[in-house]
Amino acid sequence: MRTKKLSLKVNGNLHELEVNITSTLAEVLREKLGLTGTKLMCNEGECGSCSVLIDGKPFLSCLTLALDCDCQEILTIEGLADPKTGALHPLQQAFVNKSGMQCGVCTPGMLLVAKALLDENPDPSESDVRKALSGNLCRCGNYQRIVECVLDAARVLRENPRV
Amino acid sequence: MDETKYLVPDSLKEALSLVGQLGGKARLIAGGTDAMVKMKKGTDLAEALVDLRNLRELDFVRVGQDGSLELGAAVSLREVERSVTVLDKWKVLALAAGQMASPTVRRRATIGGNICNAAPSADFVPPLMVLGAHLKLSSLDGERTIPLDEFFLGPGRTALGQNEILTSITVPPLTPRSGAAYLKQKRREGADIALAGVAACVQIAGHSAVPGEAPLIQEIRLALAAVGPVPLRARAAEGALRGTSASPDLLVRAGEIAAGECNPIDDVRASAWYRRRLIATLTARAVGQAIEDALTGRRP
Repeated sequence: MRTKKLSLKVNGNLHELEVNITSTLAEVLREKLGLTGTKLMCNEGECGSCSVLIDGKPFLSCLTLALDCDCQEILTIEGLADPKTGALHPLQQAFVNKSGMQCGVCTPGMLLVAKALLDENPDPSESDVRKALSGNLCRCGNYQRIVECVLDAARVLRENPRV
Repeated sequence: MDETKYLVPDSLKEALSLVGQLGGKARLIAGGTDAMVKMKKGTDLAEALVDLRNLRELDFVRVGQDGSLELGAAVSLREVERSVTVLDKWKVLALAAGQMASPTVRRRATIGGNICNAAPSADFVPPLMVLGAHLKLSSLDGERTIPLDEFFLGPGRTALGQNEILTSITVPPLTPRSGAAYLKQKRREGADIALAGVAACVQIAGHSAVPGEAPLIQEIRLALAAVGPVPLRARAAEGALRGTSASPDLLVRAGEIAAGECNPIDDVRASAWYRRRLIATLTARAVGQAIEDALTGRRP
């Protein structure tokens, strides 16, 4: 098995790793770094549960080779709350307030894809939200509330822009 | 996939040299949205993976001197979907790219990968076919250009030689009074594979471009997705429409002809019977929309 060195900044922390050349980012996050908030369900790019942000943009970590992310900045669900105060991100708070999650397996992916959407478009329509989340499956069928939560969080963020 | 050799060339020349040496033992991987899945399932075990991600020279969208669109093979579906150049003059390609997979997959998936994966359901292929696209295939021996129509040999099988890499796709400009459309039927609004898809490109006669009158179709190309072993041209339906006035009755008849010349299968997504009915309906609608595009597109 061939390995290679990889530098990865995850949620603000720099990691110097030695990874198998064919390891996916999802495997490295979960197995090497213990960040199991990133969920692996279908493992073939259908469900979106493994979505993470790479340099601020959403990618499927199950289809991304870890070595592809050398020197890039990864945000996983563990890094979404404020690192200093621990305060939940408005998206997380909206999911808590309105029960945006049921079983919770799709939630990390939903939240990160939604964050990337709100970073790019602070005032999305319901249709914009549905389109952005169209690659994220919720097997509980909680879509209606998830979309409402994202719209709620967008409103909160517009009223109280974070520094 | 642990024992597979993994190679990341830094230039096209280096990549061509690698595939030249490895011959059929190499698998090319670009965005990885198809190739990674096949590798994980063990259905596509190769001795060596050649990852094309560093070949920035294949990532371009530009207009050539003759007005043709030139797309590098490593351009992502998302880039096509959002490209101002594509949206301006080849809008059907942007719309087709935007209907594929999910936004997150489109960020990775490349157009070269979608073509070379040779899925019968590849959404990007039928619109390229009706626009008359050509592929540039490169090897250490040089380059050759082939019409997209001749590239597909069967599901997952193409005319790409073992020592070759698809480097770019050239799409001629739409002629005056031309229009195009791609219609895809899927099971849900979100990310899904086509049950069936129809692309149409028409050129109508200038003198018949009167509102309310059925325009005369001078030239037409139709291509069908997900209803045969490869993306198909519907040549009999084209023949029935070429040189005729596109009355609603005639469009319906052409749809039935297209349904008769495709060769769909039953699978988990839909029955062959249903796919034929979709082709009949989508063909009539796609030709209608392409004519609408020709009438409103204001191409010089």
